[in-house]
Amino acid sequence: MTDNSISYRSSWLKHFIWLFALLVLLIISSIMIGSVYIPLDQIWLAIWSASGADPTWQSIIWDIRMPRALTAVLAGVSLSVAGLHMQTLFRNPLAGPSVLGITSGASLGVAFLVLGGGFATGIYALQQLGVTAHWLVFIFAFLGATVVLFIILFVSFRVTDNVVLLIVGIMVGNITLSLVSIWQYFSAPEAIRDFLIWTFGSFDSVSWSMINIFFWVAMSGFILSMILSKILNTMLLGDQYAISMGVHVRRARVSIILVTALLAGVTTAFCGPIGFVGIAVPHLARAIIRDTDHKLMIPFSALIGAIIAVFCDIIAQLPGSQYTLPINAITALIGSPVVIMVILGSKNLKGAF
Amino acid sequence: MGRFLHTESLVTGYPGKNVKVISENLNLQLRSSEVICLLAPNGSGKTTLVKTLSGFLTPLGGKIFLEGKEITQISPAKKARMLSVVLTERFQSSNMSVYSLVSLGRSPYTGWWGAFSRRDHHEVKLAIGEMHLEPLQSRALSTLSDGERQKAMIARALAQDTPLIMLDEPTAHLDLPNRVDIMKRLKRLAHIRKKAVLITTHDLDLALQTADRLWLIMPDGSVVDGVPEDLILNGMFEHAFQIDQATFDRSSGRFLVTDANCGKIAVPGASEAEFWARKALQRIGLRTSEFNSGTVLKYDPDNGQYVITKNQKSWKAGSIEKLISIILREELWDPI
Repeated sequence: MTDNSISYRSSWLKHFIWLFALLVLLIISSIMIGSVYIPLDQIWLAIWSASGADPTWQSIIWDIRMPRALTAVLAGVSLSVAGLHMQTLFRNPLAGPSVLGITSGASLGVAFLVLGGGFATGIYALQQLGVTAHWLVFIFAFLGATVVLFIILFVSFRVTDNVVLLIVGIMVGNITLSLVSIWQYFSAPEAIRDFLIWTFGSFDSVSWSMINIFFWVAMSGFILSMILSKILNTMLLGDQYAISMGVHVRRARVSIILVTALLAGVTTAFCGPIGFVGIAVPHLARAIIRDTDHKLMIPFSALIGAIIAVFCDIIAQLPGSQYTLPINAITALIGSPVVIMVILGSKNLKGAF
Repeated sequence: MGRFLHTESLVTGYPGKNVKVISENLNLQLRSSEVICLLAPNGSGKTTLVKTLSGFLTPLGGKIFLEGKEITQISPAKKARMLSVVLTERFQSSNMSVYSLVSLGRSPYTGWWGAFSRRDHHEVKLAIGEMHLEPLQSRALSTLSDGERQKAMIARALAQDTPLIMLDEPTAHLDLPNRVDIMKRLKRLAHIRKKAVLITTHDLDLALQTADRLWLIMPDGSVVDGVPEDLILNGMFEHAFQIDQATFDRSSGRFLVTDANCGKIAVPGASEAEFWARKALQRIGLRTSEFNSGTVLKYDPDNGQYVITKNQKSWKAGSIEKLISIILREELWDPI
């Protein structure tokens, strides 16, 4: 083991270092570029001295770009780790954070708020609420996700087969989305537009207090995932082997669902439904580290997820222009070809899993 | 040799609206240092029995005891240190290395984080050594052959270091050398490391050669336990495998494929040539007997020819191929 483990350790450490350097580089670039270009030395000044930099730049950096970069990092981390959980639980390379219907639940919550129309929470009322509106969106998305989560937990206690749970999750997601469609059909065009904008996803954060909450949620989700890593490893062999090795599979399944719901639900509540990252990143991580141990897979998925999210955000800002593209479209547009390349390169989808 | 596992009036089957009982009133015992092969025709409840004994299926009745303690009273973590399994489920090919796979077998012994002690590393190394997997230990499972992967799965069970190992068809999908190799290793393990090993298999030949005892599932669902030779001589074997298209030949310990229009030829000799001629006749669906009567086949070593005599007429053939074509053309056999 000794020789074997040393070469193995140094190789993942090397990957970790260059990926981390890449992430730092991307975060700096995402603060530098956007509709206005801000030189590196000015960013340095803005961060380290209160009065050194131009106040406009100071405000762009602190109030817009830094929160957005951090939100992207946290969303990337959360979605990727959540996706990894689902792929391991269902032993299915196509599973992602949305398979349990929890993200659709968040959409339903937001639809309830934005398309509510008749309620006092019409969109004009919302806009007047300013910062509070963001909190309302968050709270409704979170409530919607929680309702679906309880349905899924109820089912997971009753069924023994994970495939059944997977199908139920996808069906619950479909039901939720069709409810949203019906609701849209009867809504005013302005409300539908506002709802659509939410579904495009966005890393724009309004306040540091929101980021603060997001940070602690993502952090605790990550730590809980690491605690689950031993169980996740045994579950790679399937339920029966896991049971034979002393794993309490039903308890393990509920823990995995709860952690996934926490990560995916809160991310969707903050950023809207962001697709692709959760499914694709674990595959990229596997292709890079060529290992299945979750003690490596979780941190690497988190790191690569952050890189992808920040990179997609830079592209979505269309540097030098006044336009911003929907992040949801960019993650799929940039990411899908990358995944196709990686999987074709490894010649064997199952081997990559 | 104490009994490691025993059952008291165990009932196996599937629960639900239409309860399906497969076997009833089973009183079985597994002792250490013993290889038991569970043999039965397809669909007679082999896997059900193994799944029930290993705790994946709840018994419909009766009790299972591990080291004298009822299995339902043992915590999953403790049970994982007493009983390991190798399942038929074909493991999805994966990036997982052989070493990581075998290491998973140690999870009942490691803490929540799964950190390895010196002992854990030692056990993993030992398990890899027992299955002769050292040259493959850093290879990904997806790059292994079926035989190598099966050995890796067995090594994982060995690393779990349990007094009892249950293997559900460990030699299915493997070629003969691999089958023999795996059975030999399992037997060695049982005897040297004093483990109780329960193997289900379709491989009668190999089971008869390896098993210390056999469990036969009878057509009525009962299980007969005994030493292989006894079970053959007292007819239990034939009874367990009642199939129209095959008959069990006690003298060779093999099943012979029979046809509806089968006949009989006497091959009284014992030379090498006659041994193989007998096999060839059995292969084309004829029975052979040792009595020197009726249609008789003999080998004439002086001319290097097979001579077949029926109703005072005789035919000669220089090779088994010619012999078979003559027999089939002239219908040289006695009706049964």
